[in-house]
Amino acid sequence: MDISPLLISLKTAVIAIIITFFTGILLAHRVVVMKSEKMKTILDGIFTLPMVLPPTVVGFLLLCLFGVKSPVGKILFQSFGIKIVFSFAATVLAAVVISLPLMYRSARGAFEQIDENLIHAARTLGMTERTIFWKIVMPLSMPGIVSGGILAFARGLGEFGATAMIAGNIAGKTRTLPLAIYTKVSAGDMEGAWFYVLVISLVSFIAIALINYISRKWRKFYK
Amino acid sequence: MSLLVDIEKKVGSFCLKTKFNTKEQWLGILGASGSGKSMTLKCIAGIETPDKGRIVLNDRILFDSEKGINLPARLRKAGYLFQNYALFPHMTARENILVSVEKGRQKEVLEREAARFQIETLLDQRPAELSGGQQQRVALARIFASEPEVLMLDEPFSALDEYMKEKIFREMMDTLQSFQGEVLMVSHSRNELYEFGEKLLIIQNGLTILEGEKKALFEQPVYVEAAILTGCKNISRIRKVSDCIVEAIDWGITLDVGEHYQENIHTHIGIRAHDIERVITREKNIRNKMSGMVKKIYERPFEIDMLIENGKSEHILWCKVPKGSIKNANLEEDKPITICLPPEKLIYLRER
Repeated sequence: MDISPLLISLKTAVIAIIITFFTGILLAHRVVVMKSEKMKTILDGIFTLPMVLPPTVVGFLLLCLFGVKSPVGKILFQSFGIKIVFSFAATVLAAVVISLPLMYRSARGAFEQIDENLIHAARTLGMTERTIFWKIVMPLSMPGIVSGGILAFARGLGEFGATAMIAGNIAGKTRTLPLAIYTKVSAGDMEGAWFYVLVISLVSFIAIALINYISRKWRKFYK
Repeated sequence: MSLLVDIEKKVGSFCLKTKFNTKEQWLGILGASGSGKSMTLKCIAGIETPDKGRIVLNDRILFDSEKGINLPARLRKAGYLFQNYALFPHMTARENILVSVEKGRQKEVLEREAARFQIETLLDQRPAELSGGQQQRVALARIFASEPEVLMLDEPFSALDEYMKEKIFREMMDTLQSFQGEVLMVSHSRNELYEFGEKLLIIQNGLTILEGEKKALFEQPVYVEAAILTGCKNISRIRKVSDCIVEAIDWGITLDVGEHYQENIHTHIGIRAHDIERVITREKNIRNKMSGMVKKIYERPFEIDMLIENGKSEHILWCKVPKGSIKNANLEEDKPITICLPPEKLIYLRER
């Protein structure tokens, strides 16, 4: 059995989650501390959109944005010789865009559930905003952030629609597990499909078990 | 040591306008919930920003809208004890106390504050493992560790069990004596504030309606609104009948009034529930007698609250009498009763 889809999937998901994790936290923090309610709503809509749109639509939009003939794709290709579409980078791009809303929303939720008075208290005690972020906000948001990260990882691992649109289905290059399953079924190879299904189910199950373990471990702090 | 506050802030249709000046005195701020008392403290602490005005603490300008000064909360040295204490739940008591103390001084500060608040044995516990009273002591130790110049207590006892309240209140008052600086306490409880300090500020709907010595304020609250906040349950409009006699319109009786009554100033009269006395003798020379019916009896652990109506008006009088005395025996609902409103206990009021 060809394990390259598993390796491509894991590689994609790992690189994607590193990007998603930090970007999601950063975006969430920016939105939470934002004063203008209007701006908040607009940005929140934009960052959440990939979660509610059909992945094929996201893939299509990415294709339009990064295609060799589109403005961004053209610049990347002509100036740097980088061609994103139908490359490994495209699988990562698709996974990042699709999983970012999960990370963003989890982090935002985690930041917002912190009792405002804790932040006020920290300020009156003389702590700087930076110290407050690292000593109060981050530790208290950790359960939400970590579980958001794991969800985003699992989502990136299972990404299909957007990946198919922008990265294609090139064996050994952009064929991730979900695409491999699709290919196997299309070819009538149900046994092969089962193998990949079991592999991805196992990885996803481990992710969920991890979330539960972590939230249980942290729950005792909250009361 | 002094704190000068003169601020205005508008939030929606609510307008806060507070002005006071303390000089090494503890100031209690009395007001109903939503009256703007917590908002006042938050403006001093720098959590909220007033629209205009000045806040000056020991010659340091914390806020001045004209000069464009608005010191961030962390530089104000304004300690704030939150209603829920706002301890950081992921840190132990020790970590909470030392959160803003520089490395070199941690040992010394911790020892000092742990001893002051008698929390040496609690230092390794997390807030969730502590009782309400213990949490409060840790929170105060944390504030003391940050060495503030003003200490603000926002409804500090409202989260505590009733039976613990008094003990914790006394302990806290004792400990706070060692604080060198201004102390402000906000509460809706007149009992707490009466014990707290000499000076009292009464706030209603964002406006300071009265400021002064607590004793005088409770004896003569001047305004109807202040009388209600200081716990006066019986208030009636009045009309002058003749010299020294007024008609209490809402109660449907005429009353002899004392020398404090001034016809052209006072529009209302009040009497505290516990100042109303029951009359059982047939004595003639008791002034301001009124007979009526006991409409309702509420039995408290150590006293009896009664609602009395006299049939002449819909208004009812609240009367509080001690339990167990012979004079107050045989009280029953729907039975006639004679009471008197001693002239020296009447409070003369006007509306703002």
